Amino acid sequence: MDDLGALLDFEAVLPSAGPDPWRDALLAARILRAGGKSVGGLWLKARAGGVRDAYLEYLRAALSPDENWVRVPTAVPLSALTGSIDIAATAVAGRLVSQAGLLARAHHGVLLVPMAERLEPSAAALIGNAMDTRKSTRVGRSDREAECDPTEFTVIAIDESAGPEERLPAALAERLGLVVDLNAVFWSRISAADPEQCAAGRPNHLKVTIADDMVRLLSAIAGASGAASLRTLQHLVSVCRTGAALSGRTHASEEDALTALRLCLGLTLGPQQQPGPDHAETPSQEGSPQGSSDNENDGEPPRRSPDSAEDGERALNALAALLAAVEAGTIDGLPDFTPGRAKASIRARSGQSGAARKNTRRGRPVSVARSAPYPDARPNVIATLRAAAPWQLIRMQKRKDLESKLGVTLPAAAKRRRPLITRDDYRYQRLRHETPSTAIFVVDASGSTALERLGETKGAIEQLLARCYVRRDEVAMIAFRGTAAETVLPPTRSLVMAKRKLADLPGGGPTPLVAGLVRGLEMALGLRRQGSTPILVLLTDGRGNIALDGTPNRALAAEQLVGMASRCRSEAIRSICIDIARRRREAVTGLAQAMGADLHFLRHADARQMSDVINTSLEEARP
Amino acid sequence: MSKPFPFSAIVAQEDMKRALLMAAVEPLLGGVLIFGDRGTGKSTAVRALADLLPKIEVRSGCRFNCVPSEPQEHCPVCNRKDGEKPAKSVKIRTPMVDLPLGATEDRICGALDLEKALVAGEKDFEPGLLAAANRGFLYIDEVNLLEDHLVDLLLDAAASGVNVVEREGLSIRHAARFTLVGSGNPEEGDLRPQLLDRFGLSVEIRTIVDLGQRIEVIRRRDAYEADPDAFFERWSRKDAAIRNNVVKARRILRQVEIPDHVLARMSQLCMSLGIDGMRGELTLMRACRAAAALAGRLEVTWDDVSDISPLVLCHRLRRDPLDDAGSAPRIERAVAAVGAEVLVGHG
Repeated sequence: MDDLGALLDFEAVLPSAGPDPWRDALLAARILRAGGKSVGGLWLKARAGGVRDAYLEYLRAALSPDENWVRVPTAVPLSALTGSIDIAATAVAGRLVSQAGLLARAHHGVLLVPMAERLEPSAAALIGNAMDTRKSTRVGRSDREAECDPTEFTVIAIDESAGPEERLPAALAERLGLVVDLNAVFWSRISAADPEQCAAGRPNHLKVTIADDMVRLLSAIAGASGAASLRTLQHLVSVCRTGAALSGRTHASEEDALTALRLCLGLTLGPQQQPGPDHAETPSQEGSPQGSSDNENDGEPPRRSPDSAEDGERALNALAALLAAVEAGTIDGLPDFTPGRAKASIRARSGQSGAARKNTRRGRPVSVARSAPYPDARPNVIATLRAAAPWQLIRMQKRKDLESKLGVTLPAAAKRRRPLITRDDYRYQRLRHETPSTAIFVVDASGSTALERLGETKGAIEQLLARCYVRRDEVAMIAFRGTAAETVLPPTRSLVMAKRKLADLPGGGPTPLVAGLVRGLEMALGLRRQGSTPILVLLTDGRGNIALDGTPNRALAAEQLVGMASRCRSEAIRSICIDIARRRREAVTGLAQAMGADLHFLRHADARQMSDVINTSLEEARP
Repeated sequence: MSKPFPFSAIVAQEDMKRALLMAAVEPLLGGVLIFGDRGTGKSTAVRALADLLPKIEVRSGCRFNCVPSEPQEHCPVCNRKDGEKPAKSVKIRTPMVDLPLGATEDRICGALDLEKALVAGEKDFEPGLLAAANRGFLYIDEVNLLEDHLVDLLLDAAASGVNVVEREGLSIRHAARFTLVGSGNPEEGDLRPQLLDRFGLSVEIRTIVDLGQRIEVIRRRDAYEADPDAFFERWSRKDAAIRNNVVKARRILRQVEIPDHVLARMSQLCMSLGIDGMRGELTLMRACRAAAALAGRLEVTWDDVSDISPLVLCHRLRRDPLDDAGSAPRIERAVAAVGAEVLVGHG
């Protein structure tokens, strides 16, 4: 007990602004339970740790102590989601037995997707489709309605992404109504949650009414914050109504709307803009159900009973203030959120990308072969059975002949008929792993000399993009200027996206060359982890004058640069260094040597020449 | 199974609804591609469409959706071997087959029936999704994420109307006349240009920005979720009106005439846009005919052409990766130019 005082002191020191994220998280869990499928699911941003475990335990107790709780393994094959043929049962029964997939097994329960940022876009699309149609079709069954497995589940996607490059696939992210970020929760803040408190029955949110004006404001705020999709709006409205239903009201108040915005979009007003003390408490000061609902169209926000006018006014102001803040872009959580949704959609790779390695141990199944692609390969049972199937009668006959000739009983000819499989029947799955190349442009957008070259660089990137479109490679771009580097164009093959981002790349300011190199290296390593081949293209005049921490310190910057360059070299990342200064510079030559990069000096770098140079390197880098 | 969201209750998105109806009227159009933002009701519209369309007649238990009067060779239900009377015919909802992303090639085309092969030693064909979609719709959500070789397969079957299976010792042809509907989000990856122009119509769809309409969407969705059956009932009259329109349009489709001068201008339009091949013109002609039939007219006018041409031609333009303007304005300009030229010519 004696350390309780110290704890209280510690709490007093913590920033008290804004609602408590942990209490919000608990509220989200209650809403998820009450709202069910109308909310879709929960996007849980949390790294592994005690806080996350505590929250998951709470969720489990709150949502479905006795219901299904299905965990999707990482790198799940699509057939495991939809269901597949149960080989053991098929062999025993002598007829085709299919087993339910993960989606069907999660019926009336929860589908937990750990490491959701690594989920393949196609798997995400499959989960999203099952969420929409509420049924899943098994492999090996006909598509008639009666033979689909019904599946209604809540999705909890755990997003452990470390950087902005890793995001939840958009198809899934958009269908999850609630967003909970536990990364900012201190362990000390966790209160022992009482699951009983939310197990008190599921109020029907459909009985809660919501005013048109409020929907309009919600829509405007969601639109302004970059989530224009109607699904988001629908989730907002559902969460809003569920929140009201939880606190026993039949009409959604503005407090509920604020809560919904916070829980779904992560939007909160900063402490100075905060109109009320703390919103995390479900507003219950107006305990009485707000009765008369016939004074609607009188210009005022409708359906407020007179005694709560003051409160309503204040909250409406809050909603309007929130809208203004979102439009002005001065709000917490916003910058993290908006580009995130856009970026999430870029990782998709479809179709034929550059080089494909055959006979890999990972990747997509392409064909079935008679010989094993690698020593300890597992045979594809279905293909094997299929290959053996036509021979069964003949083999059976042969076996009988043999038995009668020899006068003995062979072991396999038991009472139950089993498929007779010989060595010839074995079939193996071949996998193909696609490794696209990605050109990462690290561009000097500083004021020194790069300004005039920025246009050329943009031109070169556009040209390369056109070539990559044909070859199915990817292009990314990082610009450094001022005090830091920024990812202008995340790895993309999408023309739509790239043109939008390229159009307005600003220039000017000092040269944080090291920061650019660090960012480029990070991206290259990340891409390599994902299985693509990165190529770093550095365009600079070599005069870095800002250190990593953003201070103007030329000596420190140079020192850090040498360190980073040698790191690049040791990671064996293919790189090209293009000197874009007017005169050839020692600095760039030295840098290229330290990085082990090809050096090009382009006095009049026209876009075509530059793109030719890079294109050649891309071709060479192909495995 | 609860009722799907009614087609007529979908707010706005007129282009998409029209394209789908046109494809329902004229199966030869070659499918619809819906590309656009998420959460815009693409899937809802397609699923609603199947429920709206008139029921089709098949024999009960037939897995190839044969027309009862003209059974297919390989259908065991519609041709009884020993002079037995075939199963009686029933009316079913227009087939609407969802193609799951994880589908394999043998699931789509059909393959050897494992069960029969193992147990009885019989070689029998297990029909796949293409057979199930015969005389109906095949819907692929996220078509741009589907493996390319599967898309090839689908488009080939859709274009020829026949599914040919040559595998595992089977050699089977069966009808696969379906309307292909694909949807996707272009920011997640493009379709190959070769595949793009195999789709007859393409619709670009944007999130609704009008506040009133957005609220209406939420309200209707809410009413639907509260009580699907009652909601369906409420909209059934409007759905029936659309259904009758489609039925009528199908009846008069073959009688719709295209005057020569309109046809000439269509060719001129395609030429001025530099569209390769004849597929664009053919589809434009069929689409205009379907549009006129839907409007209850027996003659195609130039207004039809100028309305429809973006749907038909947008995705056929040669793509310039560096062009920012997008293809819709280019088509509008070309339509205006051709139209003006003709006006002068007439005057």
